[in-house]
Amino acid sequence: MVLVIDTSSGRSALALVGQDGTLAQDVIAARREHHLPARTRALADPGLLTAVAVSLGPGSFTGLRVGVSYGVGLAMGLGVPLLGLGSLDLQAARACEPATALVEAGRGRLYWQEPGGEPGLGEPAELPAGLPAVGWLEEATAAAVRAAGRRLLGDRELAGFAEAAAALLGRAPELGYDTVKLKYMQSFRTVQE
Amino acid sequence: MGTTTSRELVTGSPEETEAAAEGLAHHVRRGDLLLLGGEMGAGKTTFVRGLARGMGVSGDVMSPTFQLVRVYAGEVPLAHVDLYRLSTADEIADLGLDELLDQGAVVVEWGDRIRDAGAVRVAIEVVGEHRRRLRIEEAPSRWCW
Repeated sequence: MVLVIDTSSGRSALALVGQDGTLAQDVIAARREHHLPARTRALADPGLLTAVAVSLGPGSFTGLRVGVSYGVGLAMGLGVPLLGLGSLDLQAARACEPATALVEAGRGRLYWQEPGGEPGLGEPAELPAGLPAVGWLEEATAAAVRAAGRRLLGDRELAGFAEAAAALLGRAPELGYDTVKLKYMQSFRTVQE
Repeated sequence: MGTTTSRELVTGSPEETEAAAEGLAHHVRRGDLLLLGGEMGAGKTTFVRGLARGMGVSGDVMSPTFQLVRVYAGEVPLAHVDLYRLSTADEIADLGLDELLDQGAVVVEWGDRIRDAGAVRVAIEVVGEHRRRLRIEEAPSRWCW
């Protein structure tokens, strides 16, 4: 059974995906405290995990470091494979229809990705039009997305986090414990560039 | 993006530079980014010291040349960043500036190494042994003076 960790947004998400298709999830609002060890133990006996999958971003600077550090440590300690997922892919997989995936980028900006497209970074008004959007957004950011004329899919229109994670695990690449690289898109340009 | 305003002033001593920065502090809000430029010894840290004092920070202000980021607690938290030892975009990405700006204001020494629309640029030019010309550019127009 695989533990999936996504701390790329203001929600701290854990899922458990069993070989037999059983699913469990624990998604809470989180700022500084994620309580990942206790929440993991509440989901499963960690000794039974066969792999750990971590969301590599893009997303929250501190959140990603909390979740990925925990995931790497757990996988190393158990000696099980570490798998990498994309935060935008996870959001897109929650939608039952083609949708633009969104993740908070800070300062009211968004990471976004259309189906089959490359990730982008910009203001809500710069989002591609057409498809509905899916993401775990702060209240103010969600309001800005709606004000820009984009429809945000609601939780009732979406699959659960565990279902989304389960759909992606088969394609998740295995990572080296010591070569994990977070996906982060710089919004600052260096002058030399 | 709102309209911006600029200002230039000349100070005759480090104390005057610190006082000038202290006088700007009441304009600074969460999410504001100040990029400081100026050669070694121009007074960038002196400027930050005045800014921090004006923002109600008690305690020492030192250039975080090796820690890279120091965060001073205050009504608006002030993150003090030094890019002196950094140059590549990857290294700068590892500072998490976006997140620091969500939490408070950010002032960056050697900030002329990065570009950001919406940042206030402060250039400190050495015009004499103790005299400095401060050019404050692209400040939000609410920084009325």
